[in-house]
Amino acid sequence: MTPQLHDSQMYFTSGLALGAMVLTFMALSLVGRFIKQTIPLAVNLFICMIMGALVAGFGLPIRHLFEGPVWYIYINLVIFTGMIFLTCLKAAGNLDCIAYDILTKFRKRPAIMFCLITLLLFFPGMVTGVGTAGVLSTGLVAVVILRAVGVPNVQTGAIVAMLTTIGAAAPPVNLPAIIIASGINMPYEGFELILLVITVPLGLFTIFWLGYKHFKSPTLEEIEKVLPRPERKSAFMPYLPLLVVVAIFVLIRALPGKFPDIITPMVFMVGSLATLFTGKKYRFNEACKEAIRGGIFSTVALIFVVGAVVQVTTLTGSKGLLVLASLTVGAAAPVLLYVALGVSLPLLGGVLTHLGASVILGIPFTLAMLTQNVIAVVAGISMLCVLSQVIPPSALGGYFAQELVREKKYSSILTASMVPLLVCVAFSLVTLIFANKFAALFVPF
Amino acid sequence: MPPTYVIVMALYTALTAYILYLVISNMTRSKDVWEQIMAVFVIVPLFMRLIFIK
Repeated sequence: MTPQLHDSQMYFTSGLALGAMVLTFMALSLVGRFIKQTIPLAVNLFICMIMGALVAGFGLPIRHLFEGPVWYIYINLVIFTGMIFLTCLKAAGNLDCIAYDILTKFRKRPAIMFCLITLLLFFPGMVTGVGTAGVLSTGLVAVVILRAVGVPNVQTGAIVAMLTTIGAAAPPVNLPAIIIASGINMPYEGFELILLVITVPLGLFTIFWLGYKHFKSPTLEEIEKVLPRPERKSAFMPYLPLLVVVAIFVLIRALPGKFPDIITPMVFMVGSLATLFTGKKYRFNEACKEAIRGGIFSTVALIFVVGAVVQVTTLTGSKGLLVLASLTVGAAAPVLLYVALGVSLPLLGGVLTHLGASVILGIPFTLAMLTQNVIAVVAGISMLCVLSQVIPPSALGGYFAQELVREKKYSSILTASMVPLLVCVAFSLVTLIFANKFAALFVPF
Repeated sequence: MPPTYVIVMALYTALTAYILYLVISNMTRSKDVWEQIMAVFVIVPLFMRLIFIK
């Protein structure tokens, strides 16, 4: 008998690496507090990975630290170009025209208006996968509309925070699902319908729950007071860039082989260029630079670092250790696994952001549930992850929404969001528990 | 006329170069040291893509 068994050595090394990562994360967070600086999560996680690899005996794994991020170039280009498209729409005044049209045409039809606001707040999250993109772009427009129809400030903030958050899980781009799928070597295909089935009812429930009882039909004079009639070339022009983007997407799928698949980032760039001819004049290059600053830039940097996290945790065996822990919990009692999913993903995401939660816990939990339909499982877990965008301390979407509506305390917005938030968690868990039944109806394979 | 995939890949590379230019331009103007550090995480993979390392 050998004095040191291979498996115990394996557990020891991977446990040591995981411990080093966790300790480094905590130490850096404390250092950040001590020097009164918020160390960005991307920087923090990157240093954790270096420490984990060093402790596990892999030295400074430069190749692994930068090979992992390469797999996320495409999705980051989608986020960047999606944000450029939204910023160009805003700079050309097209978003103002759309908001004005929604307010004036549907001011006596709250149901249709709320559905359109849901679409408006979902759209940026759908094309970029980032909730804050929605708060920063169409969020401003939605706030004007909601205030004009009499929705109080706190509820308006809660609607913007929750809908942009849920929108980040809506198809076609759902970042936690993409991260989990690439983490378990699975193609990001077949998610469209099931993600729509999860997100659209939750989005509609949220806006109707928070806003419907406050709705008051405004007069045209009241509307013009809060949103002056925007300049436009013609009634149709503000919608042209959106139609161009939708038309190209439809043509690519309807005429495969005949219409060239110019890939999603190029479609958004074509849409962005179309805005140059549909509204006010603006400086395209400056708008593009503005688009990729701030919150979006931090998110993209974080996604690249997530690539390094996946690579290094796989290298050191830490990912396998977390998977084993999840499997053990699931084997002991399945109900514990679901409780752990419902509680830990949104709460841990509040510390690590939804992307951090998806890579660190989302992947192990998915691997622990491989007996169910994986697409439905990933969809449900991704929904739980995105909810962390309204959970403090990070609360990316929530804090931006609070700033937007100029509410003093975030706690009031969080309290108002509590019922929709719990409904979202419950519905996501139902999707996970009945994953095979959902998959039979809404997953193509 | 080159095949469609070659044109698409050329456009994709050109777009990567443009995004890289935007990121570097923002990084040089930024006064936030954290943003400059984070820019490295974005620039390195994009640069690797641009020179076809990956």
